[in-house]
Amino acid sequence: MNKALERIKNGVITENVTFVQVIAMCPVLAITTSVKNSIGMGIAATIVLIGSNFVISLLRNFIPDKVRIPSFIVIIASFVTILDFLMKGYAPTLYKALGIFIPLIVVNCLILGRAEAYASKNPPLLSVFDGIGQGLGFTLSLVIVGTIREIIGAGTFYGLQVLPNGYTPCAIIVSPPGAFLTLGILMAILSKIRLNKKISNKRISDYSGCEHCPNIGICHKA
Amino acid sequence: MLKAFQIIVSAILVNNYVLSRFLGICSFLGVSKKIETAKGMGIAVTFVMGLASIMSWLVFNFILKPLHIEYMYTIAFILVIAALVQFVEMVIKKKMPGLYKAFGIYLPLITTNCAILGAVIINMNENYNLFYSFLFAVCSGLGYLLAIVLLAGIRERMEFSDNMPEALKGLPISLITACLMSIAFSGFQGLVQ
Amino acid sequence: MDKETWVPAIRLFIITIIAGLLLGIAHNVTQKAIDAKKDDSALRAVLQDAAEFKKVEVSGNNDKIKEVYEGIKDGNNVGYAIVFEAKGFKGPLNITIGIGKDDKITGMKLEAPDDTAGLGKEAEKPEFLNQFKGKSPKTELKVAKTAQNPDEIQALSGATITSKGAVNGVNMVLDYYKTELKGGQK
Repeated sequence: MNKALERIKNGVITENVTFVQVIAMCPVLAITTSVKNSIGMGIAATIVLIGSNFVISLLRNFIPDKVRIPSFIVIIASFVTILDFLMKGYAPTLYKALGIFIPLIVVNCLILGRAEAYASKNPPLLSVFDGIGQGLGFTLSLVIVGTIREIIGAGTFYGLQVLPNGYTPCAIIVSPPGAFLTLGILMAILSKIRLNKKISNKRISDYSGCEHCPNIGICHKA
Repeated sequence: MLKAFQIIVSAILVNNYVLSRFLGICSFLGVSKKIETAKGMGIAVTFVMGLASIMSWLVFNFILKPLHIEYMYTIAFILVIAALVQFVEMVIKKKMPGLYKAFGIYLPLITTNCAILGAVIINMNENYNLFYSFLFAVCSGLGYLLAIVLLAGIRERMEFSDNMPEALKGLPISLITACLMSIAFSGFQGLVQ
Repeated sequence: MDKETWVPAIRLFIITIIAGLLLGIAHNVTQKAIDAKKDDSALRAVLQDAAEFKKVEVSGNNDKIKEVYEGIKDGNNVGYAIVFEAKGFKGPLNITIGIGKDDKITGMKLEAPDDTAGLGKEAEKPEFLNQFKGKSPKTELKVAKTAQNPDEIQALSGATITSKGAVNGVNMVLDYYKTELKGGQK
C-alpha cells in the first residue's frame, strides 16, 4: 500500500509532468482558458493513462522489445478512440471545447512516457497507481494554469463570477499570448524557488532540446 | 483560388500553428536554441507534414470511408505517420546522406509530434480535398518553420545578455518571448475570415 | 526471414487486430446510446411551441445553412428551426434560430467556439441574443451602437465584428426563410 501512495505522490509532486518533467505542454497552453476545460482535459488524459498503463503492464512480457513503441501507440490510440466515443455521446459540450486535443492525447508525451518508463517494467496494480498519480499531477497543473487564466482573463472561476462586476476582464490572458505569459511566469516563480533552495532542474534552466528530456528514449527509437 | 489564398494566409500567419493553435509546442520550445537546428527541425516537419497529409487523405478516403470505420481515424493516422517517418528516414539515409546529416536526426522526433497528427486531423475535420489538404499541411509546416526560426533568432541573441535574472533563464524567458511573438502574430487576426 | 523478425511482427499484428475488434464492438455499443440520446434541446429552446421536429432537406445552394427542421404540434406546422453558420471574428458562429408561424423570431442560440472570452464570447449570452426575439423585420436588421429603431440590434462593445456577423447571418436566414420555406408553402 505504501508503494501505491508513493506512486501517487511521485506523480503529483516529485515528478509532476508539467512543472518538473516539462513535457506534454500543448494542452497546458491550449485548453486552459477555463477551469472547466482544464478539469475535463485532465480527467480525459487520466482515464486514458490508467487504462493504457494497466494494459501495457499486463502485456509487458508479450510485447516484443523491438516493436514496443508501435504497440504502445496502438494500445493508447484504442483507449483514446473509446474516450472519443464516450465524450461525443455524454459530454458533447466539453468535447467541442477540447476539440482536436482529445484525439491528440494519442501523441501526448505523458502517456507514452509512462508506458515506456514505468508500465512496461512494473506490475499492473502499481502501474495503475502510477497512472492515477501522474494523471492527477497533470490535472492539477492544468487546473492551476486554468484558474489563473480564467480569474484574470474572465473574472470567473468555473463559470461563476468571483471578481466584482466593476472589474474589466483582461481578455489577453485567455487568448493565445496569455497562455505563454501565464506559464512563463509560473515557471519563473518555480525556478526562483528552486534557486533559493539550491535545487537545479536542468529541464527548466537549460531548456535546450532533447538533452534533459525524460522521454528521449521514446523519440529516438520510435 | 480565393480559398487557396485564404488557407495560405490563415495557416502561416493568422492561425499560426504554434503561436495560436498550440501544436508542436514541445519541439518549438525545445529545438529552438540555435537557428541552424531550428531550421532543420522546421524543414523536417514541413516535409513530413506534406507527405503525411497526402497519405492520410488517401487512407481516409479509400480505406476508412468505404469500410465505414471512420471512427478509427486516430489509430489509422498515427500508424500512417509512424510508418511514413520510418520509411522517409530509411530512404534519405540511403539515397541522400547529405540531407540525412542535415535533418535526419529530427525525423524520429516527429512521429510523436502532435504537429503532424494535428494537421491531418484538421484536414479531416475541415473536409479538405486532396489538394487543399496538402496545401494546408505544407503552409502549417511553413508557419511552424517561421515561428521556430524567429524564436531561435531571439534566443541566440539572448544568450549574450548578462543582465538576465537567473530565475528567468531557459524555459521561462522562452515562454515569455513566445508570448510577445504571439501578440505580434495576433495582429494578423481579421486579415482573413 | 528469421525468428527475430517475424515474432515481433506477428505479435504487433495480433495486438492491432484485437484492438481493432474491441473498438468495433465499443463503437456499436456506444453509437446506439449516442443516437438514442440525440439531443434536440437546442431546437426546443428556440421554438418552444413545437412538440416534435421533422428534418427538412435544405433547398437551394447555400452552404451556410446546415440543418432545417419543421416544428410540429398536433400535426400542424408551428414554425421552423434553422441551424446555420455565420462569420465571427475568429471562427464560425454556430447559430440555431427559431422562426414562428407569424414570421417572428421566437428564439436564438449561439455558439462561438473560437472566439475570445470576454469579447466575442459575450455574444453567447442572452443579453445579446434576446434582442432578436420577436423581431420580424420588413427589410433587414442592422447593427447599431445604441439600438433605437425596431429593426436595429445593439452591438456588443468590443465585439463589433462578431455582432455584425450574427446579424448578417440572421438576415441571410430570414431571406432563405422567405424565399424557400415560406414561399414554398402552398
